[in-house]
Amino acid sequence: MTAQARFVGLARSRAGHAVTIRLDRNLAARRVARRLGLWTPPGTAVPPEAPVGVKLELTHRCNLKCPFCYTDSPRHTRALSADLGDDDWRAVVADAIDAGVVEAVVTGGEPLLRKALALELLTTLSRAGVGTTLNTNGWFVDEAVADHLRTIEGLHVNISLDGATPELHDGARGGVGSWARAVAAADRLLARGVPVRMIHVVTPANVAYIGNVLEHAWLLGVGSMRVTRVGVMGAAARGGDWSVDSHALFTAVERFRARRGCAMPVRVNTASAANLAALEDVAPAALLVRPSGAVLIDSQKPFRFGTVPAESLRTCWDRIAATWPHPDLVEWADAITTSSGLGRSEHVPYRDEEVELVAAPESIASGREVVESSIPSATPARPASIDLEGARRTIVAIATARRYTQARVRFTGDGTRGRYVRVVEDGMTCRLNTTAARVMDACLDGSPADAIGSLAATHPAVSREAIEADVLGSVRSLLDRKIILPLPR
Amino acid sequence: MSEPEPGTEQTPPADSQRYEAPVVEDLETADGPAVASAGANSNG
Repeated sequence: MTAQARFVGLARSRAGHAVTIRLDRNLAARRVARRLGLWTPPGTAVPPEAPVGVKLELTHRCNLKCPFCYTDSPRHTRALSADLGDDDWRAVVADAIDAGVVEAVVTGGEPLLRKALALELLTTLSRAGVGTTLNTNGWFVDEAVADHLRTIEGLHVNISLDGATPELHDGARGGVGSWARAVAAADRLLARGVPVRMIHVVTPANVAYIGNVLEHAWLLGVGSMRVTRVGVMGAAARGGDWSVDSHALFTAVERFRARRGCAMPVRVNTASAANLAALEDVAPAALLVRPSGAVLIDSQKPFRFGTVPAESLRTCWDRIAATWPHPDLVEWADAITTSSGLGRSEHVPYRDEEVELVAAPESIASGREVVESSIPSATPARPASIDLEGARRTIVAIATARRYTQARVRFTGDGTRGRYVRVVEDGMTCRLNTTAARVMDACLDGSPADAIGSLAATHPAVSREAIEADVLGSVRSLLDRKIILPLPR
Repeated sequence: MSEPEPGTEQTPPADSQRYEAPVVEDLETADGPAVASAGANSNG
């Protein structure tokens, strides 16, 4: 039994469930528990000999203006903050591959503002066998970009979707048309078989509609969803009230899970800064490279351990490992006693300049001064009216028009107009009932819309909405099992 | 529409039967046959 399990067991037996919950969620209590040896957080205490992963912030800039942006991209966009050049980034990626990383995240700002570079780096990393993730708002994912992304083996694409409707999303992100662009980007990638995860930032303006955004993502065919509260750093630390009703958040997620099962996993990131409570016990395993070339441990710790490409990632990593846990970093983290305390700390990540912990060359690119009051930092207002049904109809129209074809399968009837299907690729066998078999038939060089039309004609008493959801859920099941495959347009 | 002859049953067209939500059920894994192994224990 682990120390954590012993601690939880003790708390339950002596004081009941409430104490366990409080200790799990409270930063200070967690820290005390750790220091008393009552709780051991997961992870390793010693940094690995080389970084396991690397996160590459290709650019400060973004085409949108989210007032909660953790990287504070709106400020940097206005300030024209300097980014590393293309050749610098090529050198960093070669260095990362050399250092042995097994996974990489290409992010920003909006990384597709440097489209050619982003695609090139993802391709280089993938060819070296590195698992890749692209974080994007989807705006620039047109057919050509989607075609290129499809060729990158092992790529996952994270797309931001901050509202169930255009009113909610566009209002939060400061860009009219950004909801439609995000949805279209997801559709283009899903139609090409590229795994898509959607990232939903919860704000006071959209918290009441979490159930709707989950349902819309599910209807669209998104693989998984991460729901995250606003971390009080970057732009969010310059103003606005970002607290949301946790009960409403978790209730909506649980209701969605009860309704749709586990076909679209939903992970709730509570932005609790809990890893700061476990600072010395959970050693870093990855590096973060800022657009300036500054090398950090991760986005929550505003400390610089070196600069690339003037220095190698390996050199920066060795500094981290040699000084871990650096006393200045521990002192900074110890002063943060609550989840929201990050925004009141001495050095707020992404809002303030990183603190240089170890001497490094003075080659950090610096941007122009910027007048902070000119940058959006207010909590998005709740739209006066939103058209949930219109947004749902748009999503369903997009998802049901996608075309599919049959994978390599063998099937035979089960005597009730259902069938047994064997997937040749992995040898799995499934049984489809009559309706699922009709969906499968419609998707053989056809679309879910064909199945919906056919089922609606033979079952007029069943609501169109129910049939649409059933068919799209069934398509998801058939895709997951590789019975059907997307047919790129 | 004429009444069915006494003693005969008119089977409705399959498509007009009661609506069933689609179900895709996983059977056994690639470790062995999913259907053909049924009753294997009794075969000794």
